[in-house]
Amino acid sequence: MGFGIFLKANPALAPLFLFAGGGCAAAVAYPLYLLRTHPEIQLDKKNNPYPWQHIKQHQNIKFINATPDFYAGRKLLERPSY
Amino acid sequence: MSGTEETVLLTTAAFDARFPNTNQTKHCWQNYVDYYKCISARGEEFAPCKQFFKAYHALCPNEWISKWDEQREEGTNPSNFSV
Repeated sequence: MGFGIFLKANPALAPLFLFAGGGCAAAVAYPLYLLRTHPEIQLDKKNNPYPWQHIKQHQNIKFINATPDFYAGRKLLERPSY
Repeated sequence: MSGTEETVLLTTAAFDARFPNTNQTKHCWQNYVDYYKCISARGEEFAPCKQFFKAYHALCPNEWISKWDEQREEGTNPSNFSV
């Protein structure tokens, strides 16, 4: 309530709250996303004890990939299995 | 100098998409465990197991290998080597 009134009184500050609020939301959402998808975090020790084993050999888990052809060429690779 | 030359092929552990970062600790451990799982499942003479053997010898520090081998012999190694 007080925030809405404050914002109406100072509309020029709206982008500030937008970006700062977005940053706070990202600071909360990114760790939760990592908990769900990062291959080195063990959440469910009983059902999924080795989350990194789900990564395929043609999959890139880093943010930036300067050589996408390298990974694309690995689609046909078979994992050495026993 | 003799006339015949032998070419020596030098290889190391191949790139593994599961472990793309600089920290190869888990890569080392995974190959160690996979080698012994391979041995227990297929026997020591099964040739493809050698790939895991070469990989962990290339990746793991020798102290870790000897420590894990000792633990394995004592039965105190916490990793699960059964398939």
